[in-house]
Amino acid sequence: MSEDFRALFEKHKDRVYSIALRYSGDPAAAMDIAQDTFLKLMSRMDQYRGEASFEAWLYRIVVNACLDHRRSNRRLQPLVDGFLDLFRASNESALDDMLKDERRQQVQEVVARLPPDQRMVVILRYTEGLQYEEIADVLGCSKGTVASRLNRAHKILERRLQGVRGKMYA
Amino acid sequence: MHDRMEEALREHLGRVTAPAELWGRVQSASPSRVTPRFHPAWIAAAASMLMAVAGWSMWKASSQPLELHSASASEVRQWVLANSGMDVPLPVKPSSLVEILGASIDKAVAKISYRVGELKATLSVSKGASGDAPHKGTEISSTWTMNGQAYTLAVANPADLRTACVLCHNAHEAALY
Repeated sequence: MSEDFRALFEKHKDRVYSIALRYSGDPAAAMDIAQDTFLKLMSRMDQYRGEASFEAWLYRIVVNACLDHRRSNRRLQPLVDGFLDLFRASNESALDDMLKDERRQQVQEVVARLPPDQRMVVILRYTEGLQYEEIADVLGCSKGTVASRLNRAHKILERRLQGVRGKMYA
Repeated sequence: MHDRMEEALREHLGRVTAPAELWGRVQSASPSRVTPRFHPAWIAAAASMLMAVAGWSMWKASSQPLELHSASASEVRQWVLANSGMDVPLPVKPSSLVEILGASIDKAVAKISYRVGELKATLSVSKGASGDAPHKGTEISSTWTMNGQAYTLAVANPADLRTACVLCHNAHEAALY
């Protein structure tokens, strides 16, 4: 394996693994996806024409690896007993750090339960910070479709947040 | 509320550091996954070798004794689980083209044999990274990992590899590979 590929791996490994982890919600599955992504990257290097940015090309490979993994490993996402607790005031609590960790896990679990098309848009938007046009380019869809998926994802998350607030203050 | 949610998503969905063992996983799996076109010099050598061994490997695949003879995916799955400790999620009703022949265990590697039309294929499953699975130089194989198990799909002819995917995928999905 060449030094060039190792340098490429080192540069992009966190990006690839993060997308895989956020998409799958499972470290073992994320390792599988990340491994497949780099193997595909290695085997397809000669197909990169330089017409698009390398990052956009890499994103497409990661996205496809996530979708391939889902096709080959269809299983129910674990049910999450709790809901988001994002709006609970925590600064005055001595358990702030612990609650923050718990909250982070809850956010990730709820995102992992979003429908795959919405989940990927959310990950590219909030994990990678891509603009709508860039997400559309990676996913091969229109900017309007990206906006629509993101809007639907926001509504799902908001609905769950409202459910939590209703329970808390009833 | 919308802004706070976006803020929370940015905060909690941020990047993480990839585990150090990822590079080892990529390295261990790479030899059987790199396509020959990446190294054009390999094409001629690989083609020559494949021509020479194709007949032998076909014979070898068909002559390997099965410890379990069964056409039932669920029975094969249970037998493999009982004898190797590995759960291999075979579809209960694979494609109508697929006929499962049986399974055997060889040095902690579960081997599931099946037929797709005239084609015979072997799915080998072992625990651990894909590098743990046997990669026989005499067969064309594709490897992947899933749930901590390494899978190797072996056939005698490169053109048959896609066809063999119908064990786990429907025909439409297999065509995507």
